[in-house]
Amino acid sequence: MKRSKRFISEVLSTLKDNIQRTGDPFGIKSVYWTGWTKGLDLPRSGETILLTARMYQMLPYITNITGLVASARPFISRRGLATIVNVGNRIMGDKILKVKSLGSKNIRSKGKKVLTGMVNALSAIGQRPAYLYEDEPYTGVLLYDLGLDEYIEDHVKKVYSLLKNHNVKKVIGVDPHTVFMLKKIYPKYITNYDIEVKHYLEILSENKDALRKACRKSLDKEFVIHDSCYMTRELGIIEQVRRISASLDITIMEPENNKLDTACCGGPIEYAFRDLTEKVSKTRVQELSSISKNIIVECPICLINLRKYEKEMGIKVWDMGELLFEALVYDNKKFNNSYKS
Amino acid sequence: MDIKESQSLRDTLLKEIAKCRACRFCIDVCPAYQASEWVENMSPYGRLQILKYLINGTLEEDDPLIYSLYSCLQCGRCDRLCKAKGQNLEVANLIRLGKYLLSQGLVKGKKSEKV
Amino acid sequence: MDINMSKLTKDLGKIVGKEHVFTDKPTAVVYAKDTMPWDVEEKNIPYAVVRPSNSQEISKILKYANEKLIPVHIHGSGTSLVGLARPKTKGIVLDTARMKKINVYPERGYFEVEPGLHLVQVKKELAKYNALLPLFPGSELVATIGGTVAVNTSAHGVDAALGKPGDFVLGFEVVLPTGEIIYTGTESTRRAAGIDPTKFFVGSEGLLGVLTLLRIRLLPLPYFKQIVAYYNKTEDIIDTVMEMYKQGIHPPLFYEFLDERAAKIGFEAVGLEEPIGAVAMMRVHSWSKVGSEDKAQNFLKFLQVGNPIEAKIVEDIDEWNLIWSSRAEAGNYMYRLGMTFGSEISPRVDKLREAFHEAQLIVKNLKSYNNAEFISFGHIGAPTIHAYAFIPTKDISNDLKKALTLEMREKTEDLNIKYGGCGGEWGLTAQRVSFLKKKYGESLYELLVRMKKALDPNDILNRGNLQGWI
Repeated sequence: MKRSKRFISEVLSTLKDNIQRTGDPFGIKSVYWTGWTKGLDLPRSGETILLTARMYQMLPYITNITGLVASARPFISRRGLATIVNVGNRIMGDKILKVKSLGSKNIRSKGKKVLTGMVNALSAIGQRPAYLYEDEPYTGVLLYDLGLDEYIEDHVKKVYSLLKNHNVKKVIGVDPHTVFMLKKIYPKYITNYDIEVKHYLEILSENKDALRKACRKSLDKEFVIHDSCYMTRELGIIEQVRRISASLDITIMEPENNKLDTACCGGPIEYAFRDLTEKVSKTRVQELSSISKNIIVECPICLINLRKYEKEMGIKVWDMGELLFEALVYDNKKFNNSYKS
Repeated sequence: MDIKESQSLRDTLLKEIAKCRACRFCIDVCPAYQASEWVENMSPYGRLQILKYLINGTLEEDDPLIYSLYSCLQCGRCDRLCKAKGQNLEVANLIRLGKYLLSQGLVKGKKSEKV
Repeated sequence: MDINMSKLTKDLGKIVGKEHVFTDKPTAVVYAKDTMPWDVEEKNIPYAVVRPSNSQEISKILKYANEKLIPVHIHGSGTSLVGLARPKTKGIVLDTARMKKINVYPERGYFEVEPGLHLVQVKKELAKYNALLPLFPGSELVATIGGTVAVNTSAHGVDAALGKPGDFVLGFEVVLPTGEIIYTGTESTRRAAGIDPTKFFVGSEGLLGVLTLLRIRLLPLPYFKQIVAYYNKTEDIIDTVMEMYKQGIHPPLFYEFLDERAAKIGFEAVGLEEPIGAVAMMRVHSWSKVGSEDKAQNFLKFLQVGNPIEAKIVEDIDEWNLIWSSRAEAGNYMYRLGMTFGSEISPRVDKLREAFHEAQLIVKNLKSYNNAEFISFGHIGAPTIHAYAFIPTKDISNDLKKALTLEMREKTEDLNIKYGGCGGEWGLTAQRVSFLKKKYGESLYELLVRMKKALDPNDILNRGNLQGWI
């Protein structure tokens, strides 16, 4: 609670600066979000694009930065803190790419698996999308969440005209925050907004029979589902993940706080209040793990927050994209080894 | 935002928050309220009241106020239970707009206008 | 009062731990605000909010408060409808929210619970043991068990069908205003007879002690049968209730109604077809399944006395939930269109009709506001008339809000007195003090003042509530 005002002020100022300067919340100018596409040969242009909005690819940097800040807080003076978060960030931003942290390789490869799984699934049902590669924008969702409304319009207009310049007519989003932003917030700032926005789970669910046919193996295991707050309450996308799971022969177990009553993973305040977040996350993990040690999530924020407790609480967190990857690939041994029995 | 927009936002917030009858039905489902060991200013009800009393001058933008407001996870569980749904009270969005109002004084590089 | 804030913070911190003492203004304001529609004033805002976790800590806090002569206001859920929750004068707010332990002992026939647990959570725990929680406030999502027993309200439940919460309390652990911890009652399911002090603390509205552990008898969950009846006019429902008592028929545990206006709003709110007039909803209970069916059939036959358009047993759970929820939604949706100022009139049964008509006249002839609309809905079977004055706008001043609340309250109190009623489910202190004095006279009020002084010589706990301060 102490120094909250100074801290929040620094974070907000940095975020706004980064996005205004580079369009990226971390202020990273180098391209870090295309590595996963190696070997997938996604077309560079098309009317329908896959929009990752860099969310899954950000995961290793989120771990780095918040870890850095959190561990620095008790030791560094106010001015030092400001230096790291604000002024330093301008120079540090790109250097973060080189900073190693425990498990960053791990989370990077997980992100690749998740996104690959999604692309493979879409391809399997005949809807292989295009991808903007280096041109892929960040949608600015953090500006909305943190009440930086004043800076939204500028960013939205830039992204929209980028999409228009690429002749994009339909966007397939892979995380609920991006889809929410494009579907519900962008139209408020753009007249005659005409981009169709869908979440990839909606598309897969509509084509679940084709998906089932394309699966190389049935996963035939039990998982407990952690619904995403935005997915259910903001977007109303509830049954899709269940239908798709059924097609993969996954048994979905429901926690008490599920669907429209799903409980939050703690992610949205993780940048600011570590202790509070930890309690929120642990409460949720306890609820989920009492039903199954294998947890499905459908959002990168949920993924990074809940997987922090894998070791401590003996759980394994799976993004839906990962399970799609497993189902469409032939080798069962690796999957069976990872599944927490 | 300029002074006119700021005033209009404040008026809107006060008008909307007036719909809240302090029934406190929303508090138990709030993750921050649970995690703080049930402290009421970490609940949606608490945040709305804090916003109201900030705008009418009783409270100021200090650390405890910022902590309360920014601890909202925007998860929307409060809106499910709000008894003022019939008046379209959007609790989570109002708290978010409160952050917008506060951003005036928090984001550097702007002439900050004290709320 | 001159308070050294840093010393206060330090002293309280030594008792409960510094992380459980809050002296910042935002927290203080949030805890000061209750459900009353007018703003919190400086005198209501506490110096500190303190959050103990057990009776020893509460004992130390109260001893300290007595030493320094600082008032302490107990905070459960803050949802009192007669202003019990708002601190009337600057002091310390004692929040019971950290005290949430519950232990159910089926082999002993009772459960023990700390005061800060919300009723819906108590209910959930008891349901595991197939036990009934015999308290039914509409605010059960947030109302605390400590607060509900301290006010001794059965709220939505019809007293004559089951009883009040205090009837099921076997004993307490209480911290007296001067800090002593005492135990009352028994651990047997046979309640103590005689001058058992448990009775003094049931319904004590936070004036005589802080309830820190409640021991309550386990009751099995009864079987329910649901009945809905549609009427041309509200008077038919009222006549039915009066006849029910006259004929000595055991009332349903829940007996609710919506008047013509409320029924239209409520049914529309939940998506049901608009009813012709007023609607009554009942839940008949019995501890045997056959009994509940028999009771329901008999009650259905009895209902004909009021000439309902239609009366039927509702078997479909979804249909029932929809109809039942129209009650809650009627209130919520009225708020969309304006503001309501409520009241409680629980008259003598044979005067129900007259009381109802006079309530209508009161609302139509308010001095503070012209042309307020009369709406009524609630637990008519108790009997309770919740008469509401509905104002079609939200744009009224703080002062007008206060004036309307108090005028409604005062005039309906006179009605309660005229027709022999006690005033219902919301308590007898704070905004109810004028009624207390009018109904029972100065001698009884003085008796209460003497009792209060005997247990709380420095007037530490909930100061101002017995005095009737706003």
